[in-house]
Amino acid sequence: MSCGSVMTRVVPVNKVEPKESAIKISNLRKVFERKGEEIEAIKGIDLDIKEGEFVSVVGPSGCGKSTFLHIVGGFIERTSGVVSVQGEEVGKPAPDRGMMFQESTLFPWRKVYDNVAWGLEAQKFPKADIKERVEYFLKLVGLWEFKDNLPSELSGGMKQRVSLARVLAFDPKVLLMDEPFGALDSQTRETMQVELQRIWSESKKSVIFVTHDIEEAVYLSDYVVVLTKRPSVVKEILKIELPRPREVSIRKSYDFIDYRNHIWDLLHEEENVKSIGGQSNAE
Amino acid sequence: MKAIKKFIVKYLALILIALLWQGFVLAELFPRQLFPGLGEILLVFVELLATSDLWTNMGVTIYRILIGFLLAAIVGIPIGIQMSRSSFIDDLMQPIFTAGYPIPRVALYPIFVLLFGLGSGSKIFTIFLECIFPIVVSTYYGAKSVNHLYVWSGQNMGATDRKLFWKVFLPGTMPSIFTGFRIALPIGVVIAVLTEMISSNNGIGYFLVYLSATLSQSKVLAVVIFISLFGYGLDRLLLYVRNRYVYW
Ligand SMILES: Nc1ncnc2c1ncn2[C@@H]1O[C@H](COP(=O)(O)OP(=O)(O)O)[C@@H](O)[C@H]1O
Ligand SMILES: [Mg+2]
Repeated sequence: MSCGSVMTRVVPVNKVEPKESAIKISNLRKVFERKGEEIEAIKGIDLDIKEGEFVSVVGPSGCGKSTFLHIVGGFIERTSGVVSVQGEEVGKPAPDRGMMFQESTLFPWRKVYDNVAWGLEAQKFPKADIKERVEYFLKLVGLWEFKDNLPSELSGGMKQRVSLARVLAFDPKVLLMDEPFGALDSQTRETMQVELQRIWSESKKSVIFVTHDIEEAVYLSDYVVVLTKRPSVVKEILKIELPRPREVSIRKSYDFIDYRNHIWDLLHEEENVKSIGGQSNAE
Repeated sequence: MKAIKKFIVKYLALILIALLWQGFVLAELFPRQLFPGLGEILLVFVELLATSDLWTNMGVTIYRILIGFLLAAIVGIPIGIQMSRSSFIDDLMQPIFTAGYPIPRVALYPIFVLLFGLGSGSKIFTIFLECIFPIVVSTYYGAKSVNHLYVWSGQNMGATDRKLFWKVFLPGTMPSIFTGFRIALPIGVVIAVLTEMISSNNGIGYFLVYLSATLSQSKVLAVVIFISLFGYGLDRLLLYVRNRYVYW
């Protein structure tokens, strides 16, 4: 992430030279057209995410977070700007950018096992490899014993874990996650956050993680990107310098609370802009 | 006790109709000849089951229904899907299926007799034409409403367009296709009987007309009961297949 000092990076591997960009976004703009009317969702986003970084995106609801991820994933077209992953400009959706959507997209007609195997089959992984990977990742998320169940037989939290296994199984270069734990109760959510942190620190993947939960963002991230309300621009990028691996109890630390309060203030500034009305975004 | 109660509630309407019927019979408003009692109808029904007349005619009718229905499915599903995927084909076909839906297509049956003859051809074609409407319309709306996130997920996992179609889009549309089937099949039964009644020398509809002409009213009613049981069984079969293979 290119913002200010790079000297005191807490995060992944210790390196002397500046790290490679994993995801680079410049001048990204998105205007939707609906019935001839133009809706500017994203005004301009610039981000430079390095290899292995975990970056969260928070912002007022409806500010374009999902839209942003959908553009990086290649599911919708951008109006202008550049998005590149490991130096290559992105086009259509591809398995190098693994996406976890806001709601479960497990295929209801396939068992858990076959859902995880789906992407591997599509990408023509060798048969033995598929078996091994499905088993490995289902065990990783603790759901191997549910391999023969249908998604409809799982709870919301279990579905999200299967979705995580499904996306990890085909080994994308970067992970895009759109409020993956948004619908979970706080207990399950916390468990998932711990699991995700562990999985991420082992896999060294770059992650863009959209959430509306400030604590979740601080707990998981190297950087938290705060967006303004629609049409969104980057309001602030916060570097989270909390030591890793992070215990659950880190939430009680003063540093953690400082980060949380700061982001809370930023978001409430945005809300207030709305309530004053008529005015454009604070920049 | 509970089971009995449930049974009664489930078949309450049927039981009431039967009681009403029997009331009319007991009141002797109509001659017995034309308005036989349920007991007699049931007796005749059992007798009828042992006759070959019933089964050979029914065999012909089943054959017509199945062929007409299958043709409607084979032609209708691709049309519905193509309409949902291409706005050109949508524009092209939409008028046929919206303006054409309320047309009583059976009314064109005489023309089909002219075109396809008095035999099975004209019946099958009419059944086909009646069945294809609900199948196309259900498939079309089902295909339109496939969750696009499933498609995006498939793309994200590196699926080819071909794989996306067969492994995401089609399974996503299957429940609606079956809804179309369930609307179409009883229509197929009714149209088969109807066209056979209008002009035929075999089939269960023809058999009905023949029995009417010989004034065997209880036999006619027994055959009607037989047809409705057959239609009910067909629907159950379809429902079974759906629950077994399209469980989502
Ligand atoms: N397909 C679309 N057509 C028109 N407007 C859209 C479309 N998708 C999203 N929007 C609008 O863009 C804005 C951002 O939406 P979204 O990215 O879903 O917000 P968020 O995920 O931050 O809550 C919203 O105002 C939404 O109404
Ligand atoms: Mg969203």
